[in-house]
Amino acid sequence: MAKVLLNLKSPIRSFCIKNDVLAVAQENILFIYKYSTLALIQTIDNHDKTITSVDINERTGNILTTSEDRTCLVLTPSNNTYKISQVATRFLKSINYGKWNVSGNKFIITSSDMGQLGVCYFDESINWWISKHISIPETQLHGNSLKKCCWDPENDILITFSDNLGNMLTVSTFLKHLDNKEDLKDSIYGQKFPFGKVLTTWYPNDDLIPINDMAYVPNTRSQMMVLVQVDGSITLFDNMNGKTVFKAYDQNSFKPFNVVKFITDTEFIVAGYNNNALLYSVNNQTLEFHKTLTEAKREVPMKNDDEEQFASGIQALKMFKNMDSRGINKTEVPISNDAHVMAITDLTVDSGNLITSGLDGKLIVHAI
Amino acid sequence: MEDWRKIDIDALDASSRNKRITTKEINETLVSRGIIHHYSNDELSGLITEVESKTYAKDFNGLFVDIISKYPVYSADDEGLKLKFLTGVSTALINCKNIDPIINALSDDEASILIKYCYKIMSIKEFQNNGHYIVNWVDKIIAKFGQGIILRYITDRRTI
Repeated sequence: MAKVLLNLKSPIRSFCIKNDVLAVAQENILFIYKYSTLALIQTIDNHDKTITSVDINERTGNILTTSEDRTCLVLTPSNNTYKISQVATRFLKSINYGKWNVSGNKFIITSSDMGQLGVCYFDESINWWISKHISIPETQLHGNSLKKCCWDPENDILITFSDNLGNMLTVSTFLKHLDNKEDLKDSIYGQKFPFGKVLTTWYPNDDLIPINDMAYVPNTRSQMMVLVQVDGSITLFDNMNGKTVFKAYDQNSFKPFNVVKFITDTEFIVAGYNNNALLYSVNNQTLEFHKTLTEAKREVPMKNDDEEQFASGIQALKMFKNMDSRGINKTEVPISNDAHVMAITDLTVDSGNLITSGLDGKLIVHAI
Repeated sequence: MEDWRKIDIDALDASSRNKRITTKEINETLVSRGIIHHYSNDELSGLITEVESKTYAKDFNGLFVDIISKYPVYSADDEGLKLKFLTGVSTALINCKNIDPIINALSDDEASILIKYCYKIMSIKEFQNNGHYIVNWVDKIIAKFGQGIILRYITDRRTI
């Protein structure tokens, strides 16, 4: 059973739920709610342009927002409100995505500026969040705009990201004063990681199609990944050897997915332009479709009664009937209010429920 | 006074440092990484002869399934020769009357390649007189493989 949590007028690009806090980005404004009661805690309107991503760190409770206005903010909880600090990013174009690491002492931001990546941390000597840049090597043909990225769950130091040319890289964000060498001891990508070292670089599926999102498959020592590409494919990819293990398409819509998230060790959810969230699983090096988790928009054939009524209309109506005769073999059932009518932009799983946000401005909770 | 400007401020301008990537650069990268094959004039001439002989013998199944959809000509030395190859493919597509068994024999990847040829041929003016034959091919490919094949054609950077 689905329930609409929020129904806003503008698209929701991103949202995050952690520690009973719900942060929703709508245009250039961030709304922070108490999740259990949906009571508004604070509204942040410091960004000039659209907010592109929101993330909350579970340990510290800090909220990170990135925006097209080339800035990003860190909101620190204090006395039931949030203290705002701006990050010195030094990027000249939009910041597309931001993500905290698990410990919450640094975060990564991706930009459209020369395909650069920023590793941000708090510098206590100057009391300011600063950004250290990583650029893709010149020898590698790369797009100018980076999309989503994800932290290696094994060590919290390596990061995998992709650009608008379908180029996927794993790099090290090792910072001497923040990270521990011991964390990298068991990494399959090697053990010596200077900051910014490129460890792997691939064009998955050899087609240079942009990657919308990616996620590490749990319990594979960070070797296997699931990627969703703009051509609508879902790929199980071996990031160590650069090989595609399995590739699948949603046979019902063929539309691309925006987001992929693992909910158990083998099961993951994908959602995107088909307006639905789909449950897949990784099973013996293959991807298996299980079910649709959200309420789908149904199409039913037109009833005879409708056709008769239509045919008995006035002459003009008959003319229009002839004009439209190629398009009236099916009709759409009015969609209930608790389903997305536009693309899903983000999703999260909280205590057994799936929560999705869409370009239609809805935030909907579905029971899994 | 000649070297008065020590910092190249133009290099810091976002519009100049974010250069646009051309199709040629993408093609060169794909060739250098061994993702696509670059055809020399001799190789392409051989392929053209094979396409023409199979069209003449009316062996369309062998032509489309074993040659055209398996050896896509993404990159070639001579553009004139590539056009000659496309002419050969276009002639074969027009002369083939029994489409269904060929489409049923294609895999997903092979159909993706064949539809690239169809769209390429439709985009060239001199082939447009017989456009309805090509549209028929596109129609049948979409009926078998679904609308996803159009999305894959649009997004794939390996272009004919």
